[in-house]
Amino acid sequence: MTETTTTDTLETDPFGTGLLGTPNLGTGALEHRERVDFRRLREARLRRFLRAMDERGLDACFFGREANARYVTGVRRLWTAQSRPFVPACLVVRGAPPVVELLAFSASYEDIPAEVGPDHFYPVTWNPMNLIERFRAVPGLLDARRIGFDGLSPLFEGMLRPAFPDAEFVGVEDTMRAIRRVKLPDEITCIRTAAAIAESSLYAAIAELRPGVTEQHLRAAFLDRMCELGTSQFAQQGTFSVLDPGAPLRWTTTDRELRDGDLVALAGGALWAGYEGSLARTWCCGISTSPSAAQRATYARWRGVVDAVADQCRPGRTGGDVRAAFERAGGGRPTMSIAYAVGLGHEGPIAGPGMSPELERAQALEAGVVVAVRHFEADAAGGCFGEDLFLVTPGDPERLTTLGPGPLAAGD
Amino acid sequence: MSPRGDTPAVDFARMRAERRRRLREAMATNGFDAVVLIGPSNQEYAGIRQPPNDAMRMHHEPVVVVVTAAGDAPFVWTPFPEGVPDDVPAEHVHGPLLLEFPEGVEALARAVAEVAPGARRVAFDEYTSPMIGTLPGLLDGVELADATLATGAARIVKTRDEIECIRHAQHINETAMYDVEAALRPGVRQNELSAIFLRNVFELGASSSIIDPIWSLTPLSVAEGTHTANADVGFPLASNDRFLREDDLVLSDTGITWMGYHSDFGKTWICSVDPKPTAGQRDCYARWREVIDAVYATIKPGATCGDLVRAAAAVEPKHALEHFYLGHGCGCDSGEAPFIGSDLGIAFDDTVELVPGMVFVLEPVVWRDGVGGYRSEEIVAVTDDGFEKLTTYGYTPFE
Repeated sequence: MTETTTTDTLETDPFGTGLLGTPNLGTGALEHRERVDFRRLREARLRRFLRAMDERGLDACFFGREANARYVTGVRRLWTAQSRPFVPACLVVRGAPPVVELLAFSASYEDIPAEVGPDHFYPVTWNPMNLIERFRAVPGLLDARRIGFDGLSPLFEGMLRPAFPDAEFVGVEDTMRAIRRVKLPDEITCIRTAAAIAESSLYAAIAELRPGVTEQHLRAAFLDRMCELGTSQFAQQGTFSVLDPGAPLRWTTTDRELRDGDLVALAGGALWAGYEGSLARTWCCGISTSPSAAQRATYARWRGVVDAVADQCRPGRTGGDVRAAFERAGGGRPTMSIAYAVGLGHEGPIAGPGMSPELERAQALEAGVVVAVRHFEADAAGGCFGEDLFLVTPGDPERLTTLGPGPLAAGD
Repeated sequence: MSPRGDTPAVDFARMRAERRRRLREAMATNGFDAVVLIGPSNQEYAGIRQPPNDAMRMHHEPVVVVVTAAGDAPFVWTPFPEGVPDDVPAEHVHGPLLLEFPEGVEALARAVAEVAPGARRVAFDEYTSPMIGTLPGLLDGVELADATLATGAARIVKTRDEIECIRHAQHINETAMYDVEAALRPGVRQNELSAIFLRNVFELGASSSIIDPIWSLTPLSVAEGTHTANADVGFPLASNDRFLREDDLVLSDTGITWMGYHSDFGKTWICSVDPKPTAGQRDCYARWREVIDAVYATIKPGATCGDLVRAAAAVEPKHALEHFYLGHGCGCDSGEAPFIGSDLGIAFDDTVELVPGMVFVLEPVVWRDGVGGYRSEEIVAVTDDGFEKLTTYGYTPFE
């Protein structure tokens, strides 16, 4: 499961076959059922981005965030958990043709898409001055009047402003969020794949539920299965935690041992080709016990809230509608995002804590948006946590995560 | 493989108090009235924790920490109140500020004015997109500065508790690796090695895996491998489902965290039913030993990072990959200041004097094109009279 199989690159590499030499023998797909045309996907994403640059009057853009660099170029840099300090990873200068420059973590061309030529990537540098010198030599950049950034730091601002004294610096993460939210068909395929990986991995953790195992053991089982399926990059590293009656959801996985009858929240997410699949379930660790009537009632309330929110995942609705449905269904005061967009990772909240009514109303849903709906129903019986992905279609919302609800729904 | 029973004696309350004192001293040196911390590792240093997820999830579920020169406990805006320790008063803890939206940045500016009234110099470590070009207007009359001047100065020398955290993180990482090294046999795939590694580190109690595990398949000459930008070894290559086969030279590189502190593990291995380096590869390893021993002999308080680079260069003029370095600091980030022997230059290296409590990862590489080479990462802590090794893993199959 790699974005670039040997055959693919040999046939599409316009620079000769000598550039990609490291052995890369895997089993990406069968030849008669090619799942994703990654080159077509990369080109479509870049076209969208260049159109957005035109619309915002941007002459150049610097991206420090992996997801944006990936959207624009398809580059697969070394993935790390946590956000990194801002360092430009990708530079695009609008022109005919546009110039795309990549800062690669490795010196190798291996993870650079073929359409970014071998002269347009350079290995990571530890001296920002060397990076600035490299940028100054990029054709057209010195003439740029309006330069976009998806983030910045005082250090880089202090060096880039003198290098481009006449340019206006503008934040463009809002533009990236907007173009990334509505998915291309190939992106949906990637998200479906990631969701299937996440489901399979979560179920591998569920299958380990028994008294005496630790929360950490469940996380280990989740990540073991995820890697076995071909990706070691996680969207959410996972919350595997016993629910204590009346207490808030604990996000941190510990070495606490499970006991018979514990309710356990299990949440995890995988990235495949950069795209996210995430889900969460609440399961009962029961050998001799089964969920109580009160616990099943909690699940039914959780289900009511999530169904009401999911039903808002339709074209023309907004985060405001999501919030209203959540409140009407008795969701109470949210302690986490009610709904958020998913694509190349998390793509921003649609409704939830910290958002004004105006901001929620500005989060428009349309066909092609993928929405994660999640809710924790707290109560004295233990609570219920769950999350699912929904695709907004011209008709009814489509649930992309298909794993069943588990023992709490028994008898539903 | 019990996750319990071998956790080190770390006094976490003391560690937090000592870090905050160092941070506040560094703020005073720089004349900062307040620092606004957005980067997760700086927040960790200030004592505030969060789940280490994919970067985009962290951007959209942001934690904000403000440390003021006047107060003691930090102010926190977080979706994860469980990551705030007991020594932060409840009235300092608030719901999240959405820094990816203008309204969240405006709320942050109001919050800063409230918790640091009259502040004249406020330092940020990072800017989110809606802050670009807008912060000066929102923080009227406030001079903006670079918070990493203070966090960098505070973080470069570790407390005894921080060193114990790094030691334990490294212990977990190394213990997880014995199974991986045993599994490195012909026909295994890179993703299968990652599965073994991640399963083990969490069974052993890791807080997080921090980089996509690297099992970099390394052809014996640069020309045999994929094109590189600098004619140096193409390392590290991101892992995928590729098969590793008989006699492949594999450079591993992994990192995890334990309670916010990073490990760093790198070794050179051979994939084989009977792993045996060639005579030329043994020579590379022998030279690598000479390099690391020469560096070790130089490590003591008062020496400079430049001295370390000169010691390595005296044995092997090119002792590091061109796009990396002889070494780097390790703490709340796996690669942090000081960078030693990087393209910052020897004059920079000479400005950094070794002080007890500094922790470095040394990662020299000896390469003979056509033969292959040797790379290993060694974590050392500078002590009052020399250094202590925090890495204990052996050098199979080279020794």
